[in-house]
Amino acid sequence: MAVELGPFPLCPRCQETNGGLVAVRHRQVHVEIAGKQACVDQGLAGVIAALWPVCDTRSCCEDDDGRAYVVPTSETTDAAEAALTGLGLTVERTPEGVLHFTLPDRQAPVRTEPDSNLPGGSLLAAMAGARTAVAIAAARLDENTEGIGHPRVVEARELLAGAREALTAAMHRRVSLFRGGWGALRPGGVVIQVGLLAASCWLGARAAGAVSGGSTPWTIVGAVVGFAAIAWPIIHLTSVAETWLGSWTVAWLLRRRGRAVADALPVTEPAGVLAPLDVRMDDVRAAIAVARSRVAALATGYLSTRRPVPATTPAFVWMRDRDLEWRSIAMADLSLRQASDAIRLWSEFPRG
Amino acid sequence: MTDYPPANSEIAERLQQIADRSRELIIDLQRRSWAGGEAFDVEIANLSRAIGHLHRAAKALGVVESPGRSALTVAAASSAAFILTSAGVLLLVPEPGQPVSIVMAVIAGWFVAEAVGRVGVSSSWRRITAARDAPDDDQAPVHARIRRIQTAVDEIHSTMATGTDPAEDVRHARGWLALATETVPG
Repeated sequence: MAVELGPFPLCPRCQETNGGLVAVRHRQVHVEIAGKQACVDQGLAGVIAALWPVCDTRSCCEDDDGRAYVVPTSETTDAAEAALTGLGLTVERTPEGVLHFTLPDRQAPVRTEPDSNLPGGSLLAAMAGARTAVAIAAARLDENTEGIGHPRVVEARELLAGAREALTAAMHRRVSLFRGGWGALRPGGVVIQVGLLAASCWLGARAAGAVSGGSTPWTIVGAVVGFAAIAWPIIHLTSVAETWLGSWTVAWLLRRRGRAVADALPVTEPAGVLAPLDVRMDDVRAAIAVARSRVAALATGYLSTRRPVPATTPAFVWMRDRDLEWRSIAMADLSLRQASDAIRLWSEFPRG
Repeated sequence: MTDYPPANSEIAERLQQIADRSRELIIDLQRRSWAGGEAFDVEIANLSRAIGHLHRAAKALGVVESPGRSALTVAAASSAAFILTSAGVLLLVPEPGQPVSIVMAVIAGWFVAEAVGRVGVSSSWRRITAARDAPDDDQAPVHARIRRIQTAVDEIHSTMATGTDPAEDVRHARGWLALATETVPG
């Protein structure tokens, strides 16, 4: 028989394993950490994620007459009490081993927004600033969703990683010695391609000429084979070299401008694990909004360098198809919008 | 007269076309928001999720993706320039059977092909940016454009065999499109 203690349903997995209990009083979040998993009240998700590595719990509630409680197993009550005290909570322990405590008021954790701006005002600096802002948002999502594997949360994580990769690709292309934004070869690319094509062609021609006894048609065929054999590896080689040299060049250029960005993140304050998850998710979305504003500024700056400046959708579609730098910026923007929306969807979803 | 259901390849092609239209709508909304217009975040996010499902369904049904006509034209012109230049150089040199002569011909062909490619791309860019009021730059309200996409997906879904993976993907796409239209005012 289905037992409903409130309006908020458990996730389908927990509904099957909780002896008929299908809905409870507070919004649920399915937490999975340290080999344990269950739906818990969303206001306790952070606390439970901190407790399970050190203790086992049998029950918990975020608001029982204004106070929260957890019920650890008798063997782990001391560890649970110590962990809660370590989180800064004042714990009252009943003779039955129930740990009561009061959660702080519902307010977003106070944070100083780390500076992800870079001096210089160049597009490369703007890309680096946007990438750092995305990395900050990703780190904030990770620290606020520890142990949560909901598909929308996973989607948001993947999208933030995708946005960061896209911006990295844009930076590599910006400093590439081989190819420009539209794929046109730069002098370094011309040297590599012409050099390798000539060498491969020459070797093919020499080999075919030697085998055929100097026959002109066969020598030409050998040259064509040599050309064809190197054509695809050249594209791959150029991409690998672009990535490898790109990382190094980007780091060097940014360091030369007076700020070592690399992949190092500015130090942020620890996540407010005691805050309810919906408040913490607002915090994450705010970080994503910061990253989005950086990407939007980058997009506007990039567009202003195009001549003529594109004004119609077909022109933007054209750019998206042919301009790798632009495609990466547009993809980063799209990923950030989707990540923010995925978190919104998850926050509004009533089920655990 | 009997109406036969469309073949998989036809369904795949139509799904791909709808995905392309949706992608263009996203790009249009993105550019508008960068220009200071409404953000349309929820619509863009849901359209994007729908596109993911439409692409997967089209791929499962065997769609053949090809670059656009203009890209194909540039590639064809560039290849033709390469072949003609290389052949021309080989015809002109006194000893075409020498490896050095062949290499010179190929390199000359490569440079001409590269130049033709650049000219093609740059003229394509000039042509597309010259059309300030392109006819396909849809001015209809956003909700109407999303609903048009939704209707097209609904029509295709009704012709698909139920229970298959592509049909499931199209069903998911319909769900995301429904979420996208719910949020658009008016």
